[in-house]
Amino acid sequence: MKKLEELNYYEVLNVEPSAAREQIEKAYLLALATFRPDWFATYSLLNEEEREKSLRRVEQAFAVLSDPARRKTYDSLLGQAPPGEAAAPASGVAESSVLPASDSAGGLLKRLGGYLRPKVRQQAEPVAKGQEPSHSNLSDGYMLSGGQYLRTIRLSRGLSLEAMADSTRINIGYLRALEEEQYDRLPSGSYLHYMLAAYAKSLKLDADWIVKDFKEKHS
Amino acid sequence: MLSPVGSVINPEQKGYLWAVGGGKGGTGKTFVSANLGLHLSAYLDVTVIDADLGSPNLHTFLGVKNRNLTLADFLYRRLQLEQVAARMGHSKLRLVSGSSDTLGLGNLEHFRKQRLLRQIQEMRSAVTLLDIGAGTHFNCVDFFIIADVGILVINPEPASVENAYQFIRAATLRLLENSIRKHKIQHLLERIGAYRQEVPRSIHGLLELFAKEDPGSADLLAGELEQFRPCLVVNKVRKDDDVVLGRCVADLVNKFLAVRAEFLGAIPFDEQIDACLRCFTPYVTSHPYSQAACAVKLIAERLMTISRDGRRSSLMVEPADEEAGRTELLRSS
Repeated sequence: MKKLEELNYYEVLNVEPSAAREQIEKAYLLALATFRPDWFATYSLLNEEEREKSLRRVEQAFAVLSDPARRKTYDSLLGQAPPGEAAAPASGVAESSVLPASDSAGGLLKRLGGYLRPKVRQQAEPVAKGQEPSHSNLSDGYMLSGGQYLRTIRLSRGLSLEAMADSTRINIGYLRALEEEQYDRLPSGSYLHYMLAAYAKSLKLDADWIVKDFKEKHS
Repeated sequence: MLSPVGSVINPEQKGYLWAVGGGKGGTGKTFVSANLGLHLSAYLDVTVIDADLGSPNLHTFLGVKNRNLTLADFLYRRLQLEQVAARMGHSKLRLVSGSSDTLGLGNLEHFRKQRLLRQIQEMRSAVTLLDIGAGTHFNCVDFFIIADVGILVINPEPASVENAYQFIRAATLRLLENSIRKHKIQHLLERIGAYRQEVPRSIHGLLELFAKEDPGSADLLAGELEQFRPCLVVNKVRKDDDVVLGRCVADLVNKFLAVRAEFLGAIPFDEQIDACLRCFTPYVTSHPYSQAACAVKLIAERLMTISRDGRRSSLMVEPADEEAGRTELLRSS
């Protein structure tokens, strides 16, 4: 495992070299949250100087990777130079980041929460600014009938979409849309409920509960 | 209808071994072990073992009041671990419970502990879950590092996170020690001994010391350390900030503690968990569709995926056997 100074900018932000702009922004927000001042998760691990240094490294990484021209230069540098050299900043000066570093922890986390929670179509009214995140916001990630949840179960059972399509006799495109929660690509109403139930039954999950949960969340 | 993956596996196929620890007491290790085990036992052969030798609680979380055979029978009456594993009702879940009334279990002799460690690794279940006690001493850490996947349960508060870092450091040092003995590069042991007495700064620093002494051995040890992948669960989550904690802590461990950590998931706080405990009712059975139960189930499924994707080298099966094993698992019971 490499030390922070040895990591290239992609590794600092925990993104793939092929990451899209949105993924890099999300990773940057997460890194800002990780190295923010006066946080209990870092106080026993890093002293103030180490934390500041890490934050600066994160800022450098984002400054380069968020700018397409600088990112291209950096990518070619990575391709040619051994990892140690590429880890040094491409330009000497760290520019100010696109997202202000002085952003409050609360504001930062609200924006981060938007990235981290799975997008649910037809969701309830958004939480008003300044309001405490309600309990229902936390539940988004745990929605029983949510496509992501079902997909996780399917993958962990080692079942492919083809196998599911075979056994449920449902068009594979529909199953894919179900897992990705693209409900506008799916027939609505009772056929959708039937599909959910069939999917659930083939994974030996309780179909009634799953359909009921879906109806509640999408009414 | 597709049959669920996994039922009783054939005796030659080794199952997965998971350990649930965390350093600090009261984070929810036993809750997580018990309920992971219960959920998976719906379609897999699972054994949960209470490895908290000094203060076992696993039976309480599973709603078991009367225990016939316990770990004490294995340790002192020379029964085999398989004999002491009691099936719970008609489920596929077996429990090896600790003994509350045997003095001295918390301070086990070395040879007894070795026998226990060996038989844990030989358990014939699709999944074996170890509930580990609080603390960072060898009786905790040694059970953690034998697992295919080690799960650390933390709470969104400073003491628990701090103790988790301590636990990871302790586990890493112990792993390095064991590797050094295994590869007979004892001259490096003195380095670890000296490190333990210093104010602990970084595992990276220690590896650099090794690299200066003996670069070849240092590379070997670094390779062994790559196998250690503690997974994080954040329990008792109440706010959005708490959910982010898991990813951040995993990142911090990766960057500063020289091991590859992964974030498994966050379990929301639920006062019903306490209520169930007081009534001796297992939580996922009585509240199967609560948010916390769903979170536990998601974590279980993720663990299955992780285990399938990358076994530890000590339990590696040949590719042909893996395929045969999988076919066995897909057959319905």
